[in-house]
Amino acid sequence: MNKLRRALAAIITAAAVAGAVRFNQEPGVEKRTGGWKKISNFGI
Amino acid sequence: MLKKEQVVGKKFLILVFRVRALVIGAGAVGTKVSQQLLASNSVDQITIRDISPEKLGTASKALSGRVTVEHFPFSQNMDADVVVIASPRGTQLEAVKNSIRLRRPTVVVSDGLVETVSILKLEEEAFNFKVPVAVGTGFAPGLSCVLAAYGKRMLDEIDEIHVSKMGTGGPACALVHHRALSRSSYGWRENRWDRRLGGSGRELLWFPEPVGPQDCYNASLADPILLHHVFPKVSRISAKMAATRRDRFTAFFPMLTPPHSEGGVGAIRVELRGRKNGVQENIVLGVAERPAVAAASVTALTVEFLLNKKIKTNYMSTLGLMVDPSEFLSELSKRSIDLQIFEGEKTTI
Repeated sequence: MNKLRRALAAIITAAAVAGAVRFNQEPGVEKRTGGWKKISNFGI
Repeated sequence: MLKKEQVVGKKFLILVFRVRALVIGAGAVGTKVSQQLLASNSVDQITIRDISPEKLGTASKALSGRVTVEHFPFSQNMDADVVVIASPRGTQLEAVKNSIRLRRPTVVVSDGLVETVSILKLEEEAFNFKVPVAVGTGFAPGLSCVLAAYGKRMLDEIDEIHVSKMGTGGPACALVHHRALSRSSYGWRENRWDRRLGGSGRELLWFPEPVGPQDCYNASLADPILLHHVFPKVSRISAKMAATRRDRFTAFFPMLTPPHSEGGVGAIRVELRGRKNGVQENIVLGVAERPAVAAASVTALTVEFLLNKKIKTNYMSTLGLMVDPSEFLSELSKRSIDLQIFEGEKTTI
């Protein structure tokens, strides 16, 4: 019975940790479509 | 209205003009504006004023000679040739009212939406008194308006302007941003103000490096109000700010932990959608910098433009209308604020 309780507690803890981590995770970035380039000539 | 000091030589009478600036607010931006004005030698004397002795103590350590530190109410006794208002939210309106009545050229950093709208209502008064007042001279609003005005030159016609920002300057700025996610956001959409819930409308946007991609949300920001002032014919104007899920969740509560004395590297991104030679074109401009540093550079440069009579309007206006964007950005790049353009596929990200 104790083993079952411990296993259940471990599963609940793991699920809570996974949920918390996922809550803080931002959506993934698949790929970029270009890049930033510095502008040095402002046409003056 | 420059103060004259007469120095009598042996034969000649020499008139010495001393330019004095009053900086209201000794926070992250106010202190840096004072430093930059001193470094560029644009003014002879600076008075920096705040109601917080702690802030004045920190500011006085950062500033050297030619600076007078004043522990005084924000909006009283404005004896200066130019007034810079970089005080916290809620104190700026009264200071602008007084500076207009005293006919002092004024530069307002301006951050909060409600206060910016209230300040813009003083437009007629400033016009009657013929006082130049620059509203919104920070990172965003401020630099964002200049970037939009610069981007306009790359297109024949603009249909949409979308501004997004990431990061905060000092604690006062952080508080405004914290609250912005829990208040209504206003954008211009098809000839009317479109109200959206703060924290809604998630969009993944790419900022210049090192900030990179960030999730951005609707927020109570002043940029659309000021941009509509500059571009009344553009049909869609919106502003979003980068936030995490935790930011959105805690926005409805008071700030649980005190903000940093100054935030890290932030960024702004201005996207213009329009047409060039009859073809749909998107222009994306951005800047990555510490928001307080960028805001101080923009404000200090606005003061210099004002003192050197390089501004185009002699009444209340926004930076997008007041300055020549090319000249302003060129000067700003000399101060290590680098403007960047996104080059990629011509599709909406």
